[in-house]
Amino acid sequence: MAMKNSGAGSPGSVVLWDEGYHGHDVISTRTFGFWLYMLSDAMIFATLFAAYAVLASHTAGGPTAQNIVHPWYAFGETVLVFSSVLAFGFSMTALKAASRPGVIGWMLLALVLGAGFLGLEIHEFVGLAMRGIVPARSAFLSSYWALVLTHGLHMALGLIWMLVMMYQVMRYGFSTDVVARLLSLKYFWLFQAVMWVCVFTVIYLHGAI
Amino acid sequence: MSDSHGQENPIKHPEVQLASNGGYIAGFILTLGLMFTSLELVSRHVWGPFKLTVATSVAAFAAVVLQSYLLFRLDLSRTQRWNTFALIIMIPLFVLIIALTWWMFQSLGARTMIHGMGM
Repeated sequence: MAMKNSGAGSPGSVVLWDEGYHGHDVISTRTFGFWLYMLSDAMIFATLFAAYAVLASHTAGGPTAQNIVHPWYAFGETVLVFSSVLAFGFSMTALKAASRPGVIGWMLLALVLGAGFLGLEIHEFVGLAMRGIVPARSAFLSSYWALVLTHGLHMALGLIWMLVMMYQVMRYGFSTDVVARLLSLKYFWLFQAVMWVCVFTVIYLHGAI
Repeated sequence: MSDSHGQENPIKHPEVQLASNGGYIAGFILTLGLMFTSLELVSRHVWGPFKLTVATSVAAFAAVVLQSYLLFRLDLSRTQRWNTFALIIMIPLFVLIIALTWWMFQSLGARTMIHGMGM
């Protein structure tokens, strides 16, 4: 950042931050910062996957992964996550075309599909809880609940963020701030599809083998 | 990170211009196809556990690579190269954190778990 000094004036006349400085790219600076944040978020998942890999066999005489996972049901969730990401992608192409209705409409569809995913996940976990298959039952179940629901929590936060962005697009249009936030949300939402590939494979497919 | 062009009109920013319906559709079809193939292999139990685990892991890795390229558009272009570089230098950290967490839980489990219960 540049530092402007008007000379021998009073301290009140000193301008510390040059807000008009155009030497760097505001949007890319923000999205790159958010990209680094997403990579650190991936670290959380890395530790949860590592813990699950060790604890999957520690069932303490309770249900095993084979007893509780339903790969075809989880594939339904996969279709919903991927479809939501696809709809969000179309929202980004609408952004490229500067279409407010396009951005909001596709984002709304992404939100509905994402909510459908969350509905399936909530139904799955309420069913487990009703049968007494809760985190306290075993180390395996603790890691199972923690891993899958961490992803679910991310999905829920993404849906809230979409609602906020739809409002901001309607209210402020495609300002620099709004566009930078939309691009960050894009990274966040696409990241959920990447994590779901890992969750689906490690939890639901390997669990059923 | 890209150049500063596009600041006057954020829509013209290179990261906005990266969006491509073709990439998103291809990413959707290919990754869903890979997940469906893995599911079919597991459902039909076409191989033994070890082979199935390896095959589905390879399919998942391929899906993640495809998503990185087709959805995130991670490549060596001027716009995306720093994102790609950041991801690459994070890989050793991922390996370390997974290995160390695995080792920690394994050691902890060996000392604290009651063996013979669901092992």
